[in-house]
This record gives sequence, C-alpha cells and structure tokens, in this order.
Amino acid sequence: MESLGEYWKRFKTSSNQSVVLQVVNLGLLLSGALVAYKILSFITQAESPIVVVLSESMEPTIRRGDLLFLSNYKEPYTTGDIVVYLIPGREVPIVHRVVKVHDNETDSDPQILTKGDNNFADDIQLYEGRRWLTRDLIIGKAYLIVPYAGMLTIWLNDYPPLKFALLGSMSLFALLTD
Amino acid sequence: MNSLTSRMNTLGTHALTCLAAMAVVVIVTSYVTPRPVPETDLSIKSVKTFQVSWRERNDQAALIFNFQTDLRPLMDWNVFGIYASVVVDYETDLYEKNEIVIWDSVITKKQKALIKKSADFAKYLFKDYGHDLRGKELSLRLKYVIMPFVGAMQAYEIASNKTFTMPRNYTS
Repeated sequence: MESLGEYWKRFKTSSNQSVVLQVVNLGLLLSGALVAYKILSFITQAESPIVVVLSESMEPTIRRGDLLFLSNYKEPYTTGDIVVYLIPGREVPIVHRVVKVHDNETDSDPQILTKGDNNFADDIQLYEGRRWLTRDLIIGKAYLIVPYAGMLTIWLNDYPPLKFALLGSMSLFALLTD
Repeated sequence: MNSLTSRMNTLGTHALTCLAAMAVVVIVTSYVTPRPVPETDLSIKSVKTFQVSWRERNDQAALIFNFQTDLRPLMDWNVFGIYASVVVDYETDLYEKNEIVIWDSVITKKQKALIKKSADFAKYLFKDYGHDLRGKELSLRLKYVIMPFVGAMQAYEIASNKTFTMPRNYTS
C-alpha cells in the first residue's frame, strides 16, 4: 500500500519531464470534459444542455438538486412540457410546466403560459410585465430528470471553501498519481 | 499492483458499471412492455360563469366537468409519478392552436390514481387569449406524462369524443 506521503516523495524526486506530462494529462482530462459538454450542447441545440434545479416550485416532479437534461429544437411547444426560461434582468432561470399555448401552424410564434407544479398561481407575475412567454426566452425543454445528481454543485455553491478543497485535492491527486 | 487504491478503483468502477447496466435494462424493459390505455370518460357539463375579465379584458369561464379515469395500471415499478392534465382545445381567428389546461395533478401514490369527478369545478379558470369564446366548440383531451425513476419522460394523450359548445352570450 502506498500512502500519500510516498506519492509526494515520488513526485518530488520525479523528473521535470514527467511533471510536465502529468500537467498535460490533467489539461487533457479537463478539455475532454469540456468537449463532451459542447458536443451535447450541439446535438441538443441548447446552450446549456444540463442544468441543476435550485428551487422547490416543481415538487414533487422535480426536487432541489435534481439534474435536468435540456433540448432546444425548433419544435412546437405543448401543454405538459417542462421548460426552462430566463427573463431578461433576472439572474436565475426558472423551470416550470407549460399550461397554456396559443400558436399557429405557419409562422409559429407560440404564446405560452407556465406554472410550477408546486405553486398555486401561474407565472404571469414572474414575467416582469410580459403577458406571455415567447420562444426567445426559453432556454430548453427537459426530457430527462436525474434525481439529486446536482446536489454536489449546490453544496459547492453554498460552501465556497468546499469548492477549493475539492478542486485542489482533485488536481493534486491527478498530478501525483500516474 | 495490488495496492489499496487500485483495489478501491477496481471495486468502484465495477459497481458503477453494474449500476449503469442495470439502469439500461430497466429503461429497455419499460420501453418494451406495452403500457395499458386507461379507460377515460371526460366531458364538460356546463358553464357556471362566463364573462369578460375585468382587468385583462378577455373571455373567461368557470367550467363544470365530468372526469373519470383509472391511472392505477400505469403505476408500475419504474414509475415514480404521473402528471395528469385535462386540456381544452379550440380554434380562433387569431390562433389555430389553443391549448388550455383546466385541471392537473401530479400523482405519486397508487391510491390517488383513480380519479372520479362528476359535475365538479375545473381547477383553473378557463381564460381565452382574447374575446373569441362565445359559441365556440371546445374539444377535450386527457394528457398524461409518465415520469420514471430511471429513463426519459413519456407523454401520452387520450382525446375525448365529447365536445362542448360555449354559450352564445355571457352570464351576468
């Protein structure tokens, strides 16, 4: 069994060349993740194909910490769809369900109303003066919910030291082990 | 070679692979097994109030509806919930497609999946985009979205064969 101290000893005695190699490997790993994310973004046409839900307004369908997979194709919206939208001037996107659609087959410009499953009232109050939600405000439509898979990001955002601890230990581990 | 970290690594990846394989099997089985079609009876019985709303100046009505369905056979072991909704469809000069939810519910327990409503108020007010509801023919649909524990959401719908014609005049 090798302890962390032994890893460190080996790291200190290893040549500059292998250190560079480890750094390059780490960079490759990170850029690989980024490429995968961008490819998913391209396939789903959504700028952010994966989002973490922060609110409880869609309980019990979607819980705080759930991970949503989004697609944003130019397809007609229908009632029952779960959409993510961002009102200009607001920072946080909202995940709610479509309860009203007015649309035409040709020159489709849907006028949409949404509501949270856990809310009593519909979302008109959230639209900041708009009466209807339109396509340009919608970031995507949820097709997959992964329960609680985004809990880690919530913890990381709530406790910033945790973020540095995790990132630091991960990079250190990636650098030290081969 | 046989260090603790390498053993833990092997164990971890093996566990993850097994879980992923199980998830795939679950997803495949829930696609392959045919879902029963729930027997549904859905109709609008009458209009309680029918007015022009004071603030937005559009037509709005309080509907009374009959609704019976049994979603219990759909609640199988990979279903954590069903979003059920009653949707009214109609056509106006302004928009060809108008879809409005007048009742909905998220069902997570099998006991709650048997729905029986006779001459009940719709959950939501029925509000038009504009002023086009007088004498309009409305059709109805039951839409339900099955939300599995593992896998993508699946939407289904059952159209009601009963239509309803809105009154020619507003109620006072």
